Amino acid sequence: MLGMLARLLKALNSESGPWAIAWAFVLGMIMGLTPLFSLHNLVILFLAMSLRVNFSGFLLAWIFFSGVAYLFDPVADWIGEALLQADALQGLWVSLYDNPLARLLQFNHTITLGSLVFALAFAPVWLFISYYLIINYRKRVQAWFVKLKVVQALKGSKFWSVYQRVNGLRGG
Amino acid sequence: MNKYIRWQGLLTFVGFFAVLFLLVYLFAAPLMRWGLTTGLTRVNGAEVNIDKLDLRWSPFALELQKVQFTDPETPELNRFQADRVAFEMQLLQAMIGRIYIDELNADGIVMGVERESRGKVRADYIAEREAEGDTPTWGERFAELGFEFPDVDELLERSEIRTPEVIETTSTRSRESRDNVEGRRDELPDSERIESYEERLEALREARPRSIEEFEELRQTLSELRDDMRTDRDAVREFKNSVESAYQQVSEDVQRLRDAPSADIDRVRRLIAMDDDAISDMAGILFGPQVQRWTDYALVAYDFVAPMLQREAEDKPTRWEGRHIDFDRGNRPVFLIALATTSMRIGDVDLALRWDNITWQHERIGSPTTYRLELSETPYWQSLNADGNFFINEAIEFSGQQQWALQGAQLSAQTLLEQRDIRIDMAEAMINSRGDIRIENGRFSGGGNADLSAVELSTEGERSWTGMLGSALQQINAFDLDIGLEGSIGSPRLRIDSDLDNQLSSALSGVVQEYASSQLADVRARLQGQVDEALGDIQPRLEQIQQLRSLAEERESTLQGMLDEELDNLRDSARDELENRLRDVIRGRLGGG
Repeated sequence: MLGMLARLLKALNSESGPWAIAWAFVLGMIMGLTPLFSLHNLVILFLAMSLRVNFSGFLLAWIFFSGVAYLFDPVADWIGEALLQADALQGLWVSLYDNPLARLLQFNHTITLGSLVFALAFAPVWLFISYYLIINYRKRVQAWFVKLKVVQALKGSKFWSVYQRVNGLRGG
Repeated sequence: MNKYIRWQGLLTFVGFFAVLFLLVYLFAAPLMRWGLTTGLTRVNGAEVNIDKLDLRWSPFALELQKVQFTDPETPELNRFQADRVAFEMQLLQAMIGRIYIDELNADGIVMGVERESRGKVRADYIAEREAEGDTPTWGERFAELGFEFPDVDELLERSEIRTPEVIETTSTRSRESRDNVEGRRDELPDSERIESYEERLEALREARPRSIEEFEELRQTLSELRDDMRTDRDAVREFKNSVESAYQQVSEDVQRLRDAPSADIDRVRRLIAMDDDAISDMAGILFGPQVQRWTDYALVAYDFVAPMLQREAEDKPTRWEGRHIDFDRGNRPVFLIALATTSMRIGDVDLALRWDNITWQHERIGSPTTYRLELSETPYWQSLNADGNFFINEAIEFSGQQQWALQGAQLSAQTLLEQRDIRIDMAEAMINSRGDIRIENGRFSGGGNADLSAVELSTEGERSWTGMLGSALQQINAFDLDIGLEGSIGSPRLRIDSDLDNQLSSALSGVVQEYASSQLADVRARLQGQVDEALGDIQPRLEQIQQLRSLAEERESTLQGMLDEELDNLRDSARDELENRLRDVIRGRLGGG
């Protein structure tokens, strides 16, 4: 966990593209908010592994949003129920119901559909928020952050040694 | 391209899932066997075994070898067993929860057969059964009857026989009474004393008082004699009363002793007496397990469906687990076996049972599940017809009916009951049976009857009562069984009425009476022997007391006689003598002067 956080900080502090980190946050958010054992998460995992997004950022976002999901499930259930019961969409659902792939995606499960729709809708917003945060972190927070006494103290801790080791390995 | 794609990650992902799919492909059969075994064990409540599972991918097909469902009530038996179950199914549909089987074949189905080793029963099933409370098995019901005819020693032990106690009491009391009166015998005046009274009386008789003084002296002597005799007479009376009382007591005890065996015999008779209610369940006890097996075969259709219904009923998600919404406008069932042919083995006969449309969602297919027995003629019966159907609506309400007619079936030799003390065998019997079972709202009603003729029953056992029961059973060679079925699907209850109970009651009554007579005679002889032996000791004591009573009576009578007559006469005669003498003296004086 410490190593993962150190890698994320290194990515944030390095010259890695901010979009790569922001996309990682988005993929992690989708996987975290939706039920883990869903077919679409296989696709998310595939994207996270095969595209050049920051994998540590993806994992941390997934862990963070998995915690959030416990609170979010009732909302997801409500959204899913509303969508699946919507008259206008009945034709779509009925046709999807006969499609084995759609059934394997569990589109007719209220929380799965609700959380996925929310996560997809929230993804562009979260992408730009993440991008904005990363850019501003690099511009303003990083220099100020390094000067903080708490960070100075942190530099003498185990976390810092891990961070340095990761940095050294990557640099080497 | 390399700017966007991380080849290392992509290859890792593809490699990982390729290995995973390969493993699943290679180990699909054992995994599926494990999954099926686990799932079926949960539904069955006890261990389910599948010896072998063969898998074919295209078209997707499964073949199960030696499928065994342990009977959770009797884990030594399989409630259901099939040598082979084979079917094809649509894999993609199965992956989305629709089990469609065009044709299923099951061979070598048998029920209630012994397992190679005792099956494990699930803890939750045991807990559930304990919560419901145990219903006694037919065998336990037999044990509850307390069907027992004790031998003489047991009878004496169990009947609270009181004769020995009466013997002991009577013997002790008679000895004490005899000793008591013997001890007081000295209080009786002996014969010498009586003779001395005679002599004293004689002396008084001879006495001729010549003067008033002599008369007065004589009167004084007489008075002393009377006092002595009265004292002795009173002592004799007192003695006589105590002897009388002892005699009375011992006589009553002897009478009680004479009566004791009869009272005990009555008690023993009550113990042997056959309680008619005790054998009201005998038909169920003897034929319950057999009828239960027949019923298991008859209800095999519902055994197929009950676990499915249970699964359907269990599928209720909680609020925040979300729910799956059904959009099947085509109203297709999630489970359907279009055709199933099962081969059931009863004894040496294979019965083919054809099933159409096995599902629990009949409203979706618009027709019930039907089943029909198909068989060729066999040497074991003249004719057998059976068919039925059932329909389950969307509210999981079960309805259906089933009928059968069996003519001239020969039942093979079999053990009807085997317990520690007894075994009851049926050597042979011919059976005709007809019945009609209905199901409304998931509950059974109706039943059937079975007429048994040319029945040969026998018993084995070392206890005396097993022989008696055997004698009674041998007198029965035809009876009928009325079998009622009630309860819900999954836990049907049998009710068995039969004229066998009446016949057996009547036959047993005769046998028991005969047995009771001989046993009672033995008991009576044994008790009478004890009483006679005791009377041999008591009777002489009674006679001794009687002799003492006679002696006391005689002494009292003698003394009283002497007191009543001799003394009064003697006093009168002395007075007369004195008066005469005085008169003569006065007359002489007057004449001489």
